[in-house]
Amino acid sequence: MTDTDTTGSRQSDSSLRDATRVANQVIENVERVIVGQHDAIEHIVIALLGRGHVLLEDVPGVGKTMLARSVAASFDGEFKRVQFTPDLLPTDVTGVNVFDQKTQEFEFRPGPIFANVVLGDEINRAPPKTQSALLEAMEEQQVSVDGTTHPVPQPFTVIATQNTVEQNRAYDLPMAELDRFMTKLHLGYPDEAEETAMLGDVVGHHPIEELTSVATLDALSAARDTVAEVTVEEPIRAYATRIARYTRENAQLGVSPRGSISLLRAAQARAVLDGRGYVIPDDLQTEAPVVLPHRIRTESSEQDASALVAEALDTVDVE
Amino acid sequence: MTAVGRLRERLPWSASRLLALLAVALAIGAPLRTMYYLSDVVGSPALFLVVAALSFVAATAMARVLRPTLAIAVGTVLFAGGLAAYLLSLSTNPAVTALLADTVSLLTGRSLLQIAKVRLWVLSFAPAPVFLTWYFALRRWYVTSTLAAGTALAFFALTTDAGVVTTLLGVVGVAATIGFGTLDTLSTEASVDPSRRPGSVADPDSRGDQPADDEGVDSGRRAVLEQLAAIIVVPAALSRLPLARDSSFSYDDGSGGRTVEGSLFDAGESITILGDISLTAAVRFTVEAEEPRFWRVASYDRYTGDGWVRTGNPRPYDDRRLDGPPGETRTLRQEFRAESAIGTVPAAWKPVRYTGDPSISVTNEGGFQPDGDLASGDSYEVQSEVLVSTPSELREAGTDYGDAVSELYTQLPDSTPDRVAERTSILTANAENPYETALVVERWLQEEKGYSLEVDRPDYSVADSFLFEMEEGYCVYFATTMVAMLRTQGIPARFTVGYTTGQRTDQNEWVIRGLNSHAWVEAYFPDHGWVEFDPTPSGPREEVRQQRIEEANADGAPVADGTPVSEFTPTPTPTPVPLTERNEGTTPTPTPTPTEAATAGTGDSTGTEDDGTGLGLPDLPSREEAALGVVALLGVAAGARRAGLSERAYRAVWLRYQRREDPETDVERAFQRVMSVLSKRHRSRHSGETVRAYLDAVDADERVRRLASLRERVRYGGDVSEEMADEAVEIADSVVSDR
Repeated sequence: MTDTDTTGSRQSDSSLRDATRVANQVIENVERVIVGQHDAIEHIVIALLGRGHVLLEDVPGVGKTMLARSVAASFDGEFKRVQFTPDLLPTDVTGVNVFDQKTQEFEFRPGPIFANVVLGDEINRAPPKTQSALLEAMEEQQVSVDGTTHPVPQPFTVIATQNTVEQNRAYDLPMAELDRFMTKLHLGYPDEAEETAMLGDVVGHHPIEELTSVATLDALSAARDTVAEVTVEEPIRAYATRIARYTRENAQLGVSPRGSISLLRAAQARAVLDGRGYVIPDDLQTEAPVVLPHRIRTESSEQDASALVAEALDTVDVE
Repeated sequence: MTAVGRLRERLPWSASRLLALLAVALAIGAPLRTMYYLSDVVGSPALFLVVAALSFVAATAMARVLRPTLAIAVGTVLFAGGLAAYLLSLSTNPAVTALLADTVSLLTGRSLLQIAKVRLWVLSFAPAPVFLTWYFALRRWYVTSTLAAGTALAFFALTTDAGVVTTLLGVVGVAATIGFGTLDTLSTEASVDPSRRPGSVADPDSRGDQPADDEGVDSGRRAVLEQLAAIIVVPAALSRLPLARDSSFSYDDGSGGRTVEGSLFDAGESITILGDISLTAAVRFTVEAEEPRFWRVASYDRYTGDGWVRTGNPRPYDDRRLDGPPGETRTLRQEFRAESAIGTVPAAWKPVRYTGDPSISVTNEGGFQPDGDLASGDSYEVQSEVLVSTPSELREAGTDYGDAVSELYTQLPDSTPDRVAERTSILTANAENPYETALVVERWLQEEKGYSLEVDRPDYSVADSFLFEMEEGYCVYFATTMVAMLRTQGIPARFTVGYTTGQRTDQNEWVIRGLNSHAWVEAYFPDHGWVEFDPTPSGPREEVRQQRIEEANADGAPVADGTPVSEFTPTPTPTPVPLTERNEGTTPTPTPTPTEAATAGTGDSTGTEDDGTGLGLPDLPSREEAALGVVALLGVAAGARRAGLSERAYRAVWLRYQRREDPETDVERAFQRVMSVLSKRHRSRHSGETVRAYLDAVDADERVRRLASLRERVRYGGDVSEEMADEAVEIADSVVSDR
């Protein structure tokens, strides 16, 4: 679907090409490690470029962490991992002020959240207070400790994983906080052939050890700026609004304006991935199934949010 | 729109009712129009208008109070009263037999104009149908209403007084009345019933039904319109078919054109003045007589503005000698032999005795007419009394015409413009007596107007048009105009048709051809009788005739059976009557008038038109034709809209021809055109389907994808240029043409 000459007028061609190249290089790089998850990788890269955060939800052992690590390892930014546990304190995430005997002053020791890519593993096992420390950083791009705010490094992306197996021992993320993740992905099991191939790759040395960065932090920042510049014309905005309104009319809680913004940002990144300087309805349709469902609370337990989004895409006039 | 809406609100009637009443007006309008025409021809139509208006008012006033049975009684009384009034005025005895005979002949195609007292007839006939029609229309008895109007219309259709267009208008009115009337009755029942239901509560359902009902009525109206259009269009189309054309015996020379002769003698008791006309060289009669005359066939007394009608019934000739003219006469014997089948028995004026095989009748004006057609070879002998009064005797004849002659022969349609009388008065200011007046008019016409067989027929008031607007014409125009002019001066005159002398083949023998047919004028002089005048310039007329004969010779057509074409030239060449003394010094000359200069001035413009190649305005349709056209158009439009034709036509044009605007619109429209083609070929795009998904699904070709990406760039990328628009339109054109 890549059209090489379909550049937008408001976008300088070279920066668009650079951004597209960076994105595709990262994807290729990750695919060397992670087999059979092309779509998920694309979505993560899109979240990265669209200034969003990703929630991976699945059973254990399907490679959630591996995926996050691979993405982080693909460029030369800082990567940190936080294993959320029921006894994890907020300061374990954000960092603490420590009294320095020499200087007789409190010194801020940054927590693991101060990195370009933060992997929050099993985020639903931590108590809400700890969760909210992470979520504040995600939304505000800063951390407050003892009344002092500390900005997180840029670019900053959180990839959180959520375990769906041990639900009874978990603190489910509240709706308001789920809303802060741009995309929520289900990885699912690889298919038979892919799994067999993966086992062959991994059984000796895990290939992730050999993964090298393919993009600089600056290149990523530049790509993010390019994505932010992608044209979103009125018909596209109107289409996003129609989809959001449809979900609101057909669910207990529908897609919020923040959700629509996320959708458009994801679509911008998708356009860049496609080499385009403008968003087309197809971008929205591709991104909506991962951007919207976790923001919807359906009217009954039988109704599935994903199905509702699919229905919306099917019913709402493209134009 | 709002003004119409306000008017609709103010009127107490529904749209259907309004339409139905309009249709009724149309239905009764057609016979009224005919009656107006009839009373106009014979004089002032004012009284008729008053009577018709009174009938309308009476019907409106009584519609609310009078019961239908009583109304029918009133109608019957009106009719009977009118009939009685008419009968009482008839001088003939017994009146009833005459009336019955008249009625029969009227119903078999005789024009009412041939009835003597047509004005009285119209006045007495008009109230009943008008009253009944309007009364029942107001009472919503639409079918009964159309019965009254339709009967009147049918009567006039049978008498051929209502023209085709007028009849059609009336029929359309009747059909429309029934159609809209039914809708009105239905909608009245629907809307009135719920409110009449005792104690009925306004239920919300009835409101919901209303739009659906309106839609039904609306489509009903459209259906009525469609049918009306069919009524108009179908007969018009059928009459264009060659089958429907009349192919009976006629004076046609086979060339397909109308001939002077045909126009003069075909119609029998009436003449309609035609436009372009030609001459036929076919030989009609051979005459043996001692002197050449105009061989008269018939004359007409009633001028209708665009034609002539003879009133009164002919009576069988009973072998007795007829009365000759009151003046001094000399007897002239003539022997005629018909050379082709023909329906006339020409004779010099005034015929008094007839001997021959074909049986004949004597018309009201004293001429002969055969009961059937003469076969080729039939011959007859006529004895005529030719007037020999001298000009000076005619000058002194006076004006004591008598009521009967005056009434019959000075009639003019009320619609004849006054300027005819004014012009004639000015022209003949110097004339001291009717004879001089006639001479002046005759001479003026001969000198002022040119002779031509190619004429744009005026729609109405031929005399007025010829006098003021036309530069050229043929004998019918000259004679008609002269009669009208004389009548404005109170001089009894009539329009006479027949043959000119013909070609002399021997000392006392003449050959009469079709091209000798002619029209001239007879004016009445007390104590002398009818005197012939010929206002047609004879020089050019003869030229045209001679030319036609030569043409016929060149074609090898049988000009005369064994008759030498070369002219027998006797000495001296006798000048055929009319009794006009051109060389007498006392003849007054036409008074020069300032208006003549004006006529000459306008002559330039009309003169160029007569070239035949000049710019002539196309004939504008008459008001009736225009009205019919509007109804037909409305119906066609309604039908087209119902069939979705208009939208389809619009789509078809939209698909094929793209008007360029700004590049953005051009690209979008080009894209929509292609999408329309694709949706016809495959399927239309689903609501949630993006263009790309759709193009993948229908497996669109590269051109289409290219166009789609162009459109994406324009619509979503804000990137637009003329080149893109050109390319997009080009692709769309090629895709559309590939279909």
